[in-house]
Amino acid sequence: MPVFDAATLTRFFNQGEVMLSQEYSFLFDRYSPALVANQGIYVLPDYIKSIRRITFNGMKLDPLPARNFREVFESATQVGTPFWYVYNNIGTNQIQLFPCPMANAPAGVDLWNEAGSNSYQTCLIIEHARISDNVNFITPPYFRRQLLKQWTARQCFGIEGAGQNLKLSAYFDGQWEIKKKQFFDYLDDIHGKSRRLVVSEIISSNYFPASPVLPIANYGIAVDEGQ
Amino acid sequence: MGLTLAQQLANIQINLGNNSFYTIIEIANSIQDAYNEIAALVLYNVKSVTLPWPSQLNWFDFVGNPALNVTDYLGTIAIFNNSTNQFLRDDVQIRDYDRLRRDWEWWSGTPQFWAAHSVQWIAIAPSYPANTVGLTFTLYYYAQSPNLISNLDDIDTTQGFLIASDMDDLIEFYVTADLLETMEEPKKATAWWKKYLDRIVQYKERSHNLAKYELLMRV
Repeated sequence: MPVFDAATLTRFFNQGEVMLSQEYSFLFDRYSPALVANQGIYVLPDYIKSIRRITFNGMKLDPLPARNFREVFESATQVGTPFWYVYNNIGTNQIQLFPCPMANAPAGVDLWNEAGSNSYQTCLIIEHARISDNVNFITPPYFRRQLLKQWTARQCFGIEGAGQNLKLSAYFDGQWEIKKKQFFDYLDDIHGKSRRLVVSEIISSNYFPASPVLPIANYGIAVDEGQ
Repeated sequence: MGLTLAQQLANIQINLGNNSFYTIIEIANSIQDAYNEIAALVLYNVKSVTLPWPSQLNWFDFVGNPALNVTDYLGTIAIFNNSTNQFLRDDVQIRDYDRLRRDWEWWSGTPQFWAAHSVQWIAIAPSYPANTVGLTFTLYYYAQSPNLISNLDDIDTTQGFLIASDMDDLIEFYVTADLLETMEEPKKATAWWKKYLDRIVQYKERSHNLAKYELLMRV
C-alpha cells in the first residue's frame, strides 16, 4: 500500500468535493450586496456558480440577457425600482440591475429569515448555487466519505512515483462515476422533484383508486385537477 | 433477527481472510458508510416528528435550524398541519411559488404549500404571521441511519441494524468490497460490488412497493 501524506489526501478529497459541486448544483447560498444609489452594476463573488433567484425588497427580479437589454433599452439609464437583472456579457461575475436602485441600501443579514428579522424586505438577495468551500458548504455527511474516497484514490494512484498504479486509478475512476450517479439520482428524487412527481407513476396508473364522483345526473361530470 | 455489529464484523473479517490489515475501527467506519448509503438509496427509515410552527419562516433547514433540530433528517415526505388538520400541498415546485406570487416571501397566512428546494432547505408558503404560538405540524420524513460509532474507543458491538434482517448482507457485501479495493484488489472487490448493487435495487423496490401485490389487484 503506497503511503500518501495527509496533505495530499486532503487536497484530493477537497478537490473531489469542489468538482462535485461544479458538476451538479446541490449547494445553495444567499448573497446580499450593499446597494448604492444610481449604481446598476455589482460584482459577485467567484464561488457563485449559478443564480437561482434574485429578489429586491422581497420581489422577484426577472433575468434579462444583455442582447435583449440592448435591443429594448439601448443605452437608457433609468433609476427606480429594479425589475430586471442583466446576467451576462457585461463583465466577469457582474450583474446589472435595471432600473438602477434609487437609494442606498445596506447588505441584508439573516438572508433565509431564520431569525425572523425580515431583512429580505429591505435589501437585494441573490440566491445561488455555489461551489463547495470544503468547510461549511459540503457534501451531505451520509454520502461524503464514501463518495470522495473514490476521487481521492483515483488521484493518489495516478501520482508519479512509487505508489503509482494506473490500473487502479482507472478502476477508481469508474467507481467515482458510479457513486456520483447514485448521489445525483438521489438529489433529483428527494431534493429536486415535488412529491407529486415522485409518486406520479402510481397515481397516473390504472390501479390507483379513483376519486369519488357525485351522481352525474345531478352534479355534472367529474374532471381531473387542472382541466 | 438481524445481525449485531459484532456478528457483521466477524463475517467481514472472515471474508477478508482474517488478516489484520484493518483495525476494528476501520472496518466499523466502513460499516457506517454502508449503513448511511443504504438509508439514502433505499429510504427504508421513515419517521415522523411533531414540531412547533415557527412564525414568519418560509425556509426550513431541519438539520441546521436549532428551533427544528431534526438531526437525522434526510428528506421530507409530507407535512401535516395539526392546527388545520390538513396536509400541506406538495404538487408545486419551488419555481411555481414565483408564479403564484412574485413576492411570496411576504405572503402571510396559514401555510398551504411545501416544496423541495435543496439538500438543506424546503420552502413553505405562506408563513404564519409574527407572534404565532402554540401551533404545531407533523413532519413525515426519511431519516438517516443511526450512528454506530459514538466513541472510537468504545464501540457497542451488541447493537443491531434497522434495515430488514434478511438484507443484513448488504452491509457485508458493501464493506467487503470497500475494504478489498482499498487493499488494491479491484477485481475481487468488483464481484462484491455487483452483489451489493443487485441487492440494493431489490431492497429499494421492496421498500417503495410494499403493497405492490395488493395494488396490482386493482387493474
